[in-house]
Amino acid sequence: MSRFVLEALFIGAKEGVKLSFCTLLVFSLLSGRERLPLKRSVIAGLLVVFLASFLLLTLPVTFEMREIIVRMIGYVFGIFFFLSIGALFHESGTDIIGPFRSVGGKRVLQIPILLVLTIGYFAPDMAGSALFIADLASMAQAPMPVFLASGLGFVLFIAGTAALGRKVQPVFPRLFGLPQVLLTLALIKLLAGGIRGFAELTLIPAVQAGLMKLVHDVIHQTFVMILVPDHPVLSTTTWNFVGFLFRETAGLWLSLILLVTPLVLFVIKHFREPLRYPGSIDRPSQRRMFIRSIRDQRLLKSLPVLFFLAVIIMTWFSQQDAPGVSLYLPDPKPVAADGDALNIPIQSPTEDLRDGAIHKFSLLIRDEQVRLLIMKKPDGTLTACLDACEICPPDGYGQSREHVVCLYCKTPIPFDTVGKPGGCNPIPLPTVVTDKEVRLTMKDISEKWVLVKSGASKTTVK
Amino acid sequence: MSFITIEKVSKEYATTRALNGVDCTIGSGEWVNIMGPSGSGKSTLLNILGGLDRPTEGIVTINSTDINRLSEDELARFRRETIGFVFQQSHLIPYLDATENVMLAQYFHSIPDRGEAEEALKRVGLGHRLRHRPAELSGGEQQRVGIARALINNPNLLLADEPTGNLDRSNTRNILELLKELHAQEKFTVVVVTHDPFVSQWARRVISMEDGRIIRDEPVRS
Repeated sequence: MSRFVLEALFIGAKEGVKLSFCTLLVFSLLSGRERLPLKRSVIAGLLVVFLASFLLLTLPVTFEMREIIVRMIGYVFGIFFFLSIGALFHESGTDIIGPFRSVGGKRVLQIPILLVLTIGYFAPDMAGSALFIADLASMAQAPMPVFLASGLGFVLFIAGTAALGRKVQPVFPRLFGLPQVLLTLALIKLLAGGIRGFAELTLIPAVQAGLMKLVHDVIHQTFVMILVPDHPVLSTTTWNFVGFLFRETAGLWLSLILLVTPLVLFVIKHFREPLRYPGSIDRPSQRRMFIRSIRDQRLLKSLPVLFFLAVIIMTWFSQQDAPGVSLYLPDPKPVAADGDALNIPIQSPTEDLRDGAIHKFSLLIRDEQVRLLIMKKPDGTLTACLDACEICPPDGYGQSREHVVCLYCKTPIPFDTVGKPGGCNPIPLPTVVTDKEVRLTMKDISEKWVLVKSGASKTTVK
Repeated sequence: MSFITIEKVSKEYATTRALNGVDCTIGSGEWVNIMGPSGSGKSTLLNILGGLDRPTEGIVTINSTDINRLSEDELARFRRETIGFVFQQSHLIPYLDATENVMLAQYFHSIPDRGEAEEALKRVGLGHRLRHRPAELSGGEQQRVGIARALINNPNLLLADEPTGNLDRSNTRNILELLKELHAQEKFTVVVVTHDPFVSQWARRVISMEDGRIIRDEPVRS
């Protein structure tokens, strides 16, 4: 069996297990005749997802569309995670819905909401996996076995999981209410939301990257706000002092705290919620029975949350050295200015600045080597920056797929935000791009490099 | 409406027929004594009523539940929520004090509550023996702990198998007076198995058994 066929079989199986398990989980909430329309809504959503995935295979798919699909998976995780947290707190007595409670209970709204959530949950994964299968097929010598293997894996594992699931499904209602189902769906998305085959099985690295960037930017903006802007010593000293907050480890810990804090707070609140005894209790033994049943119920309903916490904590740091995240680090090519003008050709015999990779250049300014970074953004434009950011020491950047990654603090910066100032982004340079070259001025470059070296860039480069 | 219904209940062991087509009903809140000589089947009947044994034939319904149809788990749950047991031996755990012995029954029922257990012991006159272990209690006091333990979960049915069999006359009277008082307060149904005619004075009705059959079922004249 070729590698492509094996990978296609695996992807099909993964999507099959995901789809059938998630459907069983949702259906466990929708038992009973009165909820049949809601079940039908889920089934209709799944059919739409299947059709859309097949249709996608027949369409020309651009790089931007693929990027949107990848981002959608992350956003869907975020949506389900926040929905589950809201629902968890709502279930344990905090009124999250407020005046919308009466609206949310209406069947006429529940059906379309469920349809949209079903499509929103499954469509990005199915579409992304379908595209990846198509890519595999195009790389394989014979595409048909690749398609067949993915279909076989999908169907077999749907059937297998459905058969196995029917045996455990009676347990589901004891463990899963609506919040627990939402959280489990988020967890499944996080653990199995990767759509790049063996190279990216989980969504954890992407979520880590997003959260680390968020943490990084929040810390940066907070200190920018609270520091005296132009104080020459205090400002720089403080940045150096708080530098540990921008290290990779701090980012990982802070992003983990960001993810688990609401869940830990829920568990604490859930178990400390005061009991409201029903009026029918008149004997001490009934009171004890009631307390016991509530405790059991709380424990059972907390198990999915505790499981989520355990899985996240166990996998969070193990993803650091995951394969496929090694950085592309091109050597800087020396360039020389012509007076104040520095013109870098877009195309040369050895490279093309529009090839999607980062390109580094070095030049000497007052006997000091200054590095530049030029790359094509997803919108097709070229952008030039210093190979340094406003916050960290000027170690520069590497490339990891569609991100540049700060070598000092390991913060990933999405390509489409490169060229914008602030945070850990590379410091942008005023650039004129012609058909043949990227034009920069030595004045701009040296001004900003001096600020970087002095540490003053942290508050003044805008 | 009867609380307990026994219909054509028989129980056979390998070579013995312990019960032979017993029919009987017991009303809610009634105090019934079952009397008879050794081997008459009275303890077997009590064990079947308590769900500790299953009949070979027949139906036993308690509080509208056919207990023979319950699974082992359901039966265990039914027992701990509906029935309290008092035995001839108090079967207290020797290394636990009186309060902890009562709390043990709470633990298996739901959750332990020390305050409630202490209150139950005070009701049976053992407020001064809360921290005493069984070896530090007299036979009558041990049986009082046993009664507190049997009643701590507010059962609807109290089954007592020779509850005063190990006690002298004075202690027997005290225990039965205590049971009578608690029965009057809480209105649970009491079935006492005994061979002692003295104990029968406290019941409202006495069922006499012999060779696995009910031979007499009559009210007690007060």
